[in-house]
Amino acid sequence: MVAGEDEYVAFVRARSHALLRSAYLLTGDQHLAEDLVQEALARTHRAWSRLHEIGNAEAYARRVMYHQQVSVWRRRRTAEVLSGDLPEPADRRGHDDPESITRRMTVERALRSLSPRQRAVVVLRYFEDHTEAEAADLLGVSVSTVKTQTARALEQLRKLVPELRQFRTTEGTGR
Amino acid sequence: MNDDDLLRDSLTEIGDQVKSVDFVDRSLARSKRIGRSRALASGAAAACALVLAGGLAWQVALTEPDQPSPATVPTALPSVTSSPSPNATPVGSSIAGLPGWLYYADSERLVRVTKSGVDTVLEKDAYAASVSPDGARVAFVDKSGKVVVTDRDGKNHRTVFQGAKYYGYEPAWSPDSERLLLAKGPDGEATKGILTVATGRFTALVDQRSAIHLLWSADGQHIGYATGECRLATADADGGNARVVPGFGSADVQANYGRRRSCDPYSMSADGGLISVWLRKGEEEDSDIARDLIADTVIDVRTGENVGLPVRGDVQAILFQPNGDILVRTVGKLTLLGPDFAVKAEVPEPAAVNDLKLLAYTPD
Repeated sequence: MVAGEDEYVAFVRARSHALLRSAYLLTGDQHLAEDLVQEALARTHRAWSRLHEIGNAEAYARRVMYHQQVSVWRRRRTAEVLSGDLPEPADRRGHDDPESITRRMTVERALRSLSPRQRAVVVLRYFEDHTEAEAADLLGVSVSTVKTQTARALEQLRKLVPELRQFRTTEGTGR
Repeated sequence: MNDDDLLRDSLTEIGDQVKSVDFVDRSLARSKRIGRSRALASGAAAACALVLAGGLAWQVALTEPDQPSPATVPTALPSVTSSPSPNATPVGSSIAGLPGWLYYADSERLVRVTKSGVDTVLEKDAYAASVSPDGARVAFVDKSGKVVVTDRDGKNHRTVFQGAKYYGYEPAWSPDSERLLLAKGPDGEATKGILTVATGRFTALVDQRSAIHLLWSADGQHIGYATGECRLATADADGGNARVVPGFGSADVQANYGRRRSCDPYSMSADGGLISVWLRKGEEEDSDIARDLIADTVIDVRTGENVGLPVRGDVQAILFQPNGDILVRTVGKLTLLGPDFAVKAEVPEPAAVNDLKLLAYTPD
């Protein structure tokens, strides 16, 4: 059905972990993150020939992922999961000093308190390092919405993470 | 470390917690399930007939950057063994009360409706097939990239070109039924152009921007297509003077209410001013590059707005005719509208084509 199947497989192997990392930040849950990436990749596969030719398969997958995450049904599912316990604190990547683990868990908890859209703008702006305009494009919202959501998200993070209270927002700079 | 770095580092550390997963098999399996669901749902594509505002003015600028215009590319002539000799189209009609011939297809089979049932025109390779406007010939691209032209009955196969693209570039006939708008190229590349059937000569369009599902207006002056981002665009017949339809498909929610978009243009009006599409909105998933032969909405290319049709029911296809008429398929019914959208005929659709897609409607 889809031309360039081998190239699709190569794309998945090369980029799926990067997508999964963003998905984990969006959902806060390994299984939900896997669901999100699986759906994004499946839809990317459906559109592979077109996307491959214009060279933006990863952008398409990310767009699907973010839209899925803020969609109604996923918001409901995510909310149910996020109301539960935090995952065990074991660090899988060697950030094992107590201070680092504590800060990560605090930020993680603070992220969970954000709305799906606020969480999305934080991940887009401060993890994937997108501009406000790029974030707006990916989310299908206006730049002013991204500005607003970012400001509210940072305000909430400052309340919950003491180390971020002096966080310097970059509103209006485009980055 | 400043606070900005602190947040970035914390996010990186959180992201690092996720366990690696192999998504190849999982995503392919999910993709197949989506495909099956879509096949089931496509027969019920619905649209309400709402009369909306018409156009005011042509758009004034392109929103996509220009790309280099390739030179005309003549190609080696194919191994033609006989010149085309299309059968004369017999006078008659598929259905009483509706002049002309109706063609339907699925991914393999192409049929023509007759008063007693259906005649099979192609047993296979109908996925990328098109019936010429004069109804005398059928062109299709097979999976190997051969462009084959047959007579109206699917006989007298003649390969007129090799190396054509299969997915996303179904051949669109010129109004004089002598040329085909299609694309050629290896995997990952597509050069859009016009193939002269009689000679096998391929002339590249002057603008090679992203374009799929090419259409050709009956006045011969315009082509239409979907961009790779599910917007619509029109251009002159040589591909130049490309214009992206304003608003429609735009990521700017203020310019595009409901996030309307389509990767599935289906038919273009005779003057190039309207394109029928399978509309996607909001969070609905984009369709893939496969040809769906579904249309539930008419878009005014000047304004990007929906154009209402005086038809009630679930619209499944909207096929513009060279004389300005519009054939609208709803569940179990075909309605022929005049250029002024007045109803000219309403006829029941034969049950034999319930599971097939409307491909073409040619004169009697």
